[in-house]
Amino acid sequence: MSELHGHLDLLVLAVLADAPAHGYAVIEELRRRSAGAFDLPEGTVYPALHRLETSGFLTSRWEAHGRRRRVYRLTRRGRGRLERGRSDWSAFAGAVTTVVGEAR
Amino acid sequence: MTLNDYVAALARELRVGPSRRRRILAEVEDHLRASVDEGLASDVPRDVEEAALARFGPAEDLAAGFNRQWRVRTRLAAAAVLGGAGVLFVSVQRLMEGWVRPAPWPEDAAPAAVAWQSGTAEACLFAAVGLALLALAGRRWSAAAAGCALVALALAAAFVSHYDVERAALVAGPPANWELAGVCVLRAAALLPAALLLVGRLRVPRVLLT
Repeated sequence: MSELHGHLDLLVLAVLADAPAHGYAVIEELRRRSAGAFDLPEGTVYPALHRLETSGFLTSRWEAHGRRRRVYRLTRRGRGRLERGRSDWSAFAGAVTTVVGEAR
Repeated sequence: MTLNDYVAALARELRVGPSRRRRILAEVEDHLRASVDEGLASDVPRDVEEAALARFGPAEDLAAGFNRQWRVRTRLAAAAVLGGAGVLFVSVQRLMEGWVRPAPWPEDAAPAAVAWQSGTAEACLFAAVGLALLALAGRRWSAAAAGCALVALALAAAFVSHYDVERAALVAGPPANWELAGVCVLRAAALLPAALLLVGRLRVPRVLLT
């Protein structure tokens, strides 16, 4: 899963684009959407969440719904970063698929 | 290892500021407790705590991820303290003594009422520079050194301000408001960037954190 680390920020932003979530829910959603392929150590997501917040892409606050949890939300800046990331990823993945997928 | 042992190990490994440390530990503990609760509610509620910790990953790796981010912030704050020390030094040496109004006494014979304050301010300034250099060079104590450097710089600014007041009482004629405002702005500029970086209110470019 080491190849995933360069893309973790984008994956986290994509998960949070649908709804605010706490760290535990983010990692669960990553696992669910990837059908178990992204089975990272759960702790990995927290430095990424803090880094994205420091960069202004997320905001967070403590919320208490039975259990007190730090809930993260995408900012407008984060949404813009996600859109750029999606576009870059599509171009990159398309190019790689074209090269790697070609039968000679 | 129990959940409490894990949180204690993480606390030992973290090299971040106090409020960030509290937040990280609270978030991690909350995550692990939720994970354990989910395990207990499952069909096979055995070794749930151990399994939750294994899924979470080693405390050392997690701490390293946070420490890397904090180290960049701390070093930027230390660099800001160095820059601030320079700004403060210039504001003292040039603005108040030359540009605003020259003192009517020889340079090496200042009245005792002002001499000790300028001497103490200089000592604080040197301490701030030394601590900031330590924060830039060190790893383990760099956050504490950067914080102390900021305190030393703030003390230097306070002594310098007191010196200005005492000096103004001894030099004929009050300084113009714009002169005082300029000096205040310069001193705020000397302290603010490092203070904001240390409390986490100033954004660090993402490229520096990754």
